[in-house]
Amino acid sequence: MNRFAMSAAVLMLTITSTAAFAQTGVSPRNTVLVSGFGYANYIDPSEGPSNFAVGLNPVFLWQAQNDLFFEAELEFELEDGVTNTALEYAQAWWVAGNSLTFGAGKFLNPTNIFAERYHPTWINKLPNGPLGFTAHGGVQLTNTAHTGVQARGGIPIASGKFTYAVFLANGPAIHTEVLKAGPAKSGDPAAGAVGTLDFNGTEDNNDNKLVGGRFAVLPWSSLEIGYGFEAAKIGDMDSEFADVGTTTNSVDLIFNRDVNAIRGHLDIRGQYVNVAVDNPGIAPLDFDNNSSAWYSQLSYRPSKSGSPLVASFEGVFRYEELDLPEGAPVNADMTRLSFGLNRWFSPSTVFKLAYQKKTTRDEVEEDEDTVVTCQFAMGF
Amino acid sequence: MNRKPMKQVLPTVAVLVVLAILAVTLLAGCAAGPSQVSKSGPQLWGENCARCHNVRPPASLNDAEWDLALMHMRTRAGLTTSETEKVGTFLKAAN
Repeated sequence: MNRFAMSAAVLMLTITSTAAFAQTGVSPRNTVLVSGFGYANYIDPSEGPSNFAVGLNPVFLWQAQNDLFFEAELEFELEDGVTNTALEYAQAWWVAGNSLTFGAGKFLNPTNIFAERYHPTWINKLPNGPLGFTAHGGVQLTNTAHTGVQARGGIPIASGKFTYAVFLANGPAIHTEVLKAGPAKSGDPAAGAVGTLDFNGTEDNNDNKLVGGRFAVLPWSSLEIGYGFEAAKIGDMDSEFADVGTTTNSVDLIFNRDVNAIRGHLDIRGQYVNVAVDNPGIAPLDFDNNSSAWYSQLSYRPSKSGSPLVASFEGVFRYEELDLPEGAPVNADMTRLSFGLNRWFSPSTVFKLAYQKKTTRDEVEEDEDTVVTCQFAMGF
Repeated sequence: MNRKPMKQVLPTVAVLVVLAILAVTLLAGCAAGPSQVSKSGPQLWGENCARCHNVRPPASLNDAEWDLALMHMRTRAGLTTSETEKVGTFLKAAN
């Protein structure tokens, strides 16, 4: 989006919000709620030492007026002997109408369904996130959060619903240095490999803003199918890569419902994402830079078994693939198979036991590693 | 700047075609069943919250806390203002 169009959009948003704030004026609520989640992990990989780990993510919710709201999530994580902190999101919301809400700040990426909806450990049914969709474990293809503005809402259609989210954000940069270090969180040098997107910057590297959106249809309450896209220039301003752009397309699916025939609750989740980066014909980005990742997850809980003990258990299966460009300096495709068994103590307190087998393939070799993870997670 | 090779364009086209077919099919499916706007608070609470996570009991928060929690969740779940109010009314009556 060019500078004029963006300025016009920001100006319109400012004018409409100022008018609305003036109307709502009185009856401040000033209520605050601290929510969030915490977890403790024991991780035993087939290669390398086993480890205990812990994390805490407090979520702060503050409502100033009926239609004005602020939310923020912090992350505290022990890693390499220090406590890492991160601002996962922090944004102000203004409810402009029945089907329209504006947000501004740092927000979870609406096109990355795992990040936006499932990242809390008491919601995620396995101890970690899928490859390509988080900063953990290899190359991250789609951002977990953006800094910018968004508009979103839901529109009832007969017995179903249509939901939308559109946003403008700073957008990612691109790694152009062969030996550039990866994100501190990842611990995987491939995450910072040349040609991959750099989501670590909090400031934009050019005047072009990322444009994105997600549109979803819910024909029935138990089924949601969404399509998301993002487009942006990602090269540094005034560099030889200034015109390099990227386009992301994704499809996601959520299906869950009680199924009497199997006396329990069935939950299916999945997403596919494709990231295409322009080939400028200039080294080191002169290769077909087209990456994709997808996962599908199935879980079953015998909630209608008649036994409270049996009903408190849940089985989980997830399959993931991460495909990187063939001509890229780092081309380590990955697949991962996960099996999990969860024991629920309350709706937001769970003990998870998971076995995961990851296969990494590059042009010369194939490597397999397994990991067993125990996680105790609580939402509050 | 080189033009995008077919390898890059084809997945996008394929995704868009599949989505268009799905959208038409699913929108047709919307015509069946009770109207979305006529759904009750308990029904909306069960359907929307359980789509992503286990449903927390109404007694887990007080009235003011539910107001905040609902503002937090309405954007993620795509709830309208009227749907949010229905769910809030139910939760406050039941907690």
